[in-house]
Amino acid sequence: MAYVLRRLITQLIPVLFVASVLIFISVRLIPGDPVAAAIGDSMGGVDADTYERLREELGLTRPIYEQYWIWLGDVLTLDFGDSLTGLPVTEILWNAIPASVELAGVAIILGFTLGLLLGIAAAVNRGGPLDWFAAGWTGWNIGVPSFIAGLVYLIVFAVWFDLFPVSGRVPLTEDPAEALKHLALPGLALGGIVAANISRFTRQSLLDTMTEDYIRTARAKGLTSTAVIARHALRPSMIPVVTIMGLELASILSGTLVIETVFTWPGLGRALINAVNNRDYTVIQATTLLLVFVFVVVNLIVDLVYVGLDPRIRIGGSAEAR
Amino acid sequence: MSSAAPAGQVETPQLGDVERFHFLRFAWSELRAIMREPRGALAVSVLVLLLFFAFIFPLLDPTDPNQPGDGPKNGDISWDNPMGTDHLSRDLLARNSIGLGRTIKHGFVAVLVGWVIGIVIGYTAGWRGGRTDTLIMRGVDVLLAFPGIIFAILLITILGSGIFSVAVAIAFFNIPGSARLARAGVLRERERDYVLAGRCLGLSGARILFRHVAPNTFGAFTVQVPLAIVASVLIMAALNFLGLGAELPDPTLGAIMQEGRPFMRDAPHFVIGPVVILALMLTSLNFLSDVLTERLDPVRRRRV
Repeated sequence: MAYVLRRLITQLIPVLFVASVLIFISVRLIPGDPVAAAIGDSMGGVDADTYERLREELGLTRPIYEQYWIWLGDVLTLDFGDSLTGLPVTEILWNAIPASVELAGVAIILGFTLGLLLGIAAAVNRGGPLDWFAAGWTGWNIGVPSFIAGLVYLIVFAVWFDLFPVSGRVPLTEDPAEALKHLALPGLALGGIVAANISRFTRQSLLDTMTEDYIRTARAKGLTSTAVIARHALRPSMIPVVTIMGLELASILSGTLVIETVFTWPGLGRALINAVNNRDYTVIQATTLLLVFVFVVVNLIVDLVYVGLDPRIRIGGSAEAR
Repeated sequence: MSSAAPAGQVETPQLGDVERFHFLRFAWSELRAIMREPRGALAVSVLVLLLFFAFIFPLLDPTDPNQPGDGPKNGDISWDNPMGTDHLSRDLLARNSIGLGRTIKHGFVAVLVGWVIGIVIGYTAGWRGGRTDTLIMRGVDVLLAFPGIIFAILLITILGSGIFSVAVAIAFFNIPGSARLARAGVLRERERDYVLAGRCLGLSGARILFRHVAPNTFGAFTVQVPLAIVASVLIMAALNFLGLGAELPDPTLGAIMQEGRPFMRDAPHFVIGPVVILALMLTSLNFLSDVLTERLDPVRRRRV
């Protein structure tokens, strides 16, 4: 518990605070006047009185730190203001979140299961065809970033073989079969890299464990090799793999940003890029803040899981902080 | 080649010249060692070919990458256009070549600037120690806790989209890693006897740090720099693909992919070109970094 508190105070809160300040300031730093931006070009000729009144209404006459506190208060009550399109920003976010969660979920499931299975198969079948396949898969995915892999999958599976749609999304709740078809390629592009990293570590870790004495003992007492692996070798091999899984979660989060554009997937990444291109600053603020928040919280949860797995971290924590 | 030197310049040996000579010889012997490894040789050859394609080829091929040609739009691979043409019937071979050159140039400069800043920050933190160290490293930690691409997007929001903003974002992206590495190196070297000897001789702190300590921290950088270039080129291509580094009509690899994305079904060659080039480049850099790691790591080095 003390560890959780310390992490909250020394990392989560400072990072979120700095992030919120940066995000708040970033919009203030943009050349151009917020009042002019708010009225738009159509009412170009506003007289000085109206201008002053608008500045006051928008809170721009107050000192900047007060403006920040007001903005922060709005954010904490989930009031992000309106987008340039007239829609409330929260509505845009609510529409985009399910798509992103779906994609990230599929990538995580695909990446973790495929990675574990491939890693175990490669270790068991060392030097055999499956091992070579796993090595090839790892080499491809580590050499090539997810969005390039995504483009390649699009060309091969969607254009040449015409098996999957090129873009778009169908919500899982409406038509599960069609939804999965749309999810397959982006899921593979994102999950493939995760699977590659996890399979590499699983293979190595399992092979290391197989050299331990207690595995020889298990063999000697006549267990089948399946039982040896499933009952004795697998569990201790998983500790480094869990570490990698945690790191991969973060990479999936930033991966979705780009992958969504490759597959024109209507998630948060797409919303953010559209907002940047349209200079829709309220949406940029809200989306980046949300993404940073998720990122930091996921990292915190991952760290807490390690603590559960390995109590040494709890004690070593203060030494590491130095 | 000495005849090419300006007439008035007399070649007098200086202290700096001697060190520079050693560095070149060191680099040359490293390169030869890398070339002895099959993977290293492959990586270096591919990289040399790519450099040729990016910087020498445009001099030989007069096609203007931004000039719409007379050929068909989204034209297939042909003798005139070996990589096909794009949606404005511009020659994709020329565009990819220029695009690769811009990607390498900007990526390289951005990584260099980022690393120099990061290393100076890291040296300062490690050398000064105490409160300066704590303060700087806290800042670095916060920077690390940010997902890199979101930070880049925020920066680009402030600076406006364009290749310069992308380069600034890449430079920032490289600061935390290099700062940590530099600090770790200085912390390791700081307590060595030669530092004490330098102090006894009355050398200034900056001189000891930059003349004597810094060279001993460079080893760790050689492995990390290729990886940093991989990550930076990747982020850069991604940002350009997202349309954030757009300075049309000048191409970058990412921008060509973005332009080709809508025509994927009818003209797959449009996207395949930059994808293959980028994949080749990133894979070779990864190989190179692997070979360097193995050379520096005596446990993993097979031949001594």
